[in-house]
Amino acid sequence: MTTARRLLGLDEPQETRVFLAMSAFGLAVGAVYWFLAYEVAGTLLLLGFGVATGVIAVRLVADPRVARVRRRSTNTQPAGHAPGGGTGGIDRPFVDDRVRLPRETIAPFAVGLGVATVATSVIFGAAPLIVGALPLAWGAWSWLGSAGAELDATDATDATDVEADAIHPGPDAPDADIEATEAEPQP
Amino acid sequence: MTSDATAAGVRPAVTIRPTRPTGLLTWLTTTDHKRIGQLYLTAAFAFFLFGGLLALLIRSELAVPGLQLVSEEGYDQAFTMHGTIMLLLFGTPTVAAFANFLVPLQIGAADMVFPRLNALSFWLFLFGGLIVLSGYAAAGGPADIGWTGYPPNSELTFSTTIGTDLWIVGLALTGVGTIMGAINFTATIYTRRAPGMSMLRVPMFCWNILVTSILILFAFPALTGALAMLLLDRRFGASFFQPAEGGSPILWQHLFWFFGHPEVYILALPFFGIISEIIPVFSRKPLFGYRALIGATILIGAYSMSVWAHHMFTTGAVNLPFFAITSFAIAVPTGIKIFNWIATMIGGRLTFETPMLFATGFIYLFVIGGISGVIVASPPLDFQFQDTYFVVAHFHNVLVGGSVMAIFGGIYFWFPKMTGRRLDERLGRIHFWSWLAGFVLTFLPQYQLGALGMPRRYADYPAGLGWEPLNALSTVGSFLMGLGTIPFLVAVVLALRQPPDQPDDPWGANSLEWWTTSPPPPHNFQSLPPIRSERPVFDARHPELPS
Repeated sequence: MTTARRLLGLDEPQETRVFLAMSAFGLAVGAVYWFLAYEVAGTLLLLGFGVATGVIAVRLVADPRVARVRRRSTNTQPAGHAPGGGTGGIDRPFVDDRVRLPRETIAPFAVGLGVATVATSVIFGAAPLIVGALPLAWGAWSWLGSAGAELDATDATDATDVEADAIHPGPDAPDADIEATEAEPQP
Repeated sequence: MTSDATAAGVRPAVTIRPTRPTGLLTWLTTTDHKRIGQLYLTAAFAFFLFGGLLALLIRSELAVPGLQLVSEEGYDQAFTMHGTIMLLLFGTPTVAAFANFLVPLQIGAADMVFPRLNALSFWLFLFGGLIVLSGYAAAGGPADIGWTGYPPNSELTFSTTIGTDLWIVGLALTGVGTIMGAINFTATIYTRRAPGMSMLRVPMFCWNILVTSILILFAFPALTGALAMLLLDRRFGASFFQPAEGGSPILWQHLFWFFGHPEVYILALPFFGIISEIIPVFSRKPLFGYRALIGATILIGAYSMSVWAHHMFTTGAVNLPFFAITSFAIAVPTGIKIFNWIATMIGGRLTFETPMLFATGFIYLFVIGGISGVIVASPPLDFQFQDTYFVVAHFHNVLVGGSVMAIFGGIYFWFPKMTGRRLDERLGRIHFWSWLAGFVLTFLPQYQLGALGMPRRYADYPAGLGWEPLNALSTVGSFLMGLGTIPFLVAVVLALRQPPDQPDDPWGANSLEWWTTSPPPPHNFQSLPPIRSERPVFDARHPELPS
């Protein structure tokens, strides 16, 4: 029974099951269509949908965060947050709470303008390529620079947190990476 | 770490946006999902107004036989740009508009996972759209190949205007932007939900956006690839779609409709989500069959990837029973949704403010569109109706009677949250009734015109076939819809001239976005309620009730 459940993906989080179901659907209808029609283009498109969603499903199944969730039998939600039926009582197996809100930046606008201008060089020749390369390069440089600085700042904050945890380990220290790092919301 | 961050229930690594940005330039530099959502909505609506004017031009041309307001080529360009704009520069970005504004708010997140990428998605859409429209400045005018761009009409031999190349490049760019947006929505829903919000507590709108995003991820690359192949044919001497050189126009149809039919659901599912949010609020009841609706959404998403070739029945190149059966089958989960919306209303304390009017109008018109869809999913009937006005009426019933009604409902519903202001109720009612009446007048006669055999995409038609009164009626209806848009625009202008005065939750709604201020602060939440069900705000207000 356990093997059957595992094969059917019933122990996977809902997030994974969405992709597993779509993959199974795509592969099944692709196979049915082939034996009904022997028509290559339609079959490839259907199977392609099944395979592509399957690749994402496999990636989610293999996610190390989910593996940790499977090992845990109880939820560590803060008080007042009843579990909502996620795997092992964990509501958010793929949670990533390293939230960063970048400051205002012209970089996406510049990259977008640059890409759009460069794209028209397919029609108008080299001139738009040269004109568009300038905002594209400047925007990309600015984007990478600010993202890199942000990453460094976050790494520094994380390192401070790790040091603080080492000095004052919290009650959920072994699995602090999944849920317990969140402060309890205030009503 | 700031005290605000602690109060917001987020991790120490959060960087809080310090101030509420002001000034026009900040719209160019914003990475805030709410402002990006408003940019999408504004730009998409501007495209909508232009596409609407083209629709009025088309209907004016067809008002009476023999009228030649525009040349035949101009007519081709008008219906090509009308379809392209409404589907890809209005409908799809409106999905992104609502998703941008609502997804982080509804799941209790501070922003999207990739805020800069989110901004880039918008700019690619906007510049791509402007490139498409720039065809009007080209020597031969804009694209004139129909929004479906079928080869050989779209090959250089038959469409020499540079506007067609601009159409291809522009749409490819908007497609890339849309795919980026879908990645952002999926990742945000998967990784940024508030504590306690399992997938089975995610609001229905977000579920619909999730499935829509998955569809976008697998459907839009087919369009982008097909457009690239077409451009290679036109500009670089390739022959993907030229039979004389060994290519196949049918391949374009496969690729286009592998995108095109999921696109219909990309333009429907999010608006199903909007309806699923509006109806419970104005019925004062929980949404009936929440889990069944999730299942129906996933089923519709999966089925929609397997029905594309019902657009190709008459090519003789696809298996008719297979695609007929899958097309019929998709009516089942759609029917579940309609059943659940009606069941939500039954026994509720219904009130009919403007959002609810649009929601009920949506159900009425979408059901007609759905039933006529079942008709054209039947190969014998499809052979009869192919390329007639019956098909035009059907897809407008789905996409205008359905999606656009829901879009307006959503705007009236969330405008207070977006701006802190409420749209005038009286103008809203005028808007709704003129659109409902105008829609029925415009498109119900087109079913009959299709049954009488009137083909689509012709600039004129002969007199004496009994088509004149129906065409005249259709034109009157279209102008009623056009005039009916004016009260909406007036309501928006009047509201924006007033100071914000709306409370956090003017409607008595249930999902997380109504927990925060109207409009929300730059980092969305000062605090979050405990999440014990899919109605956390209701639970917080009624802690005595079991969730």
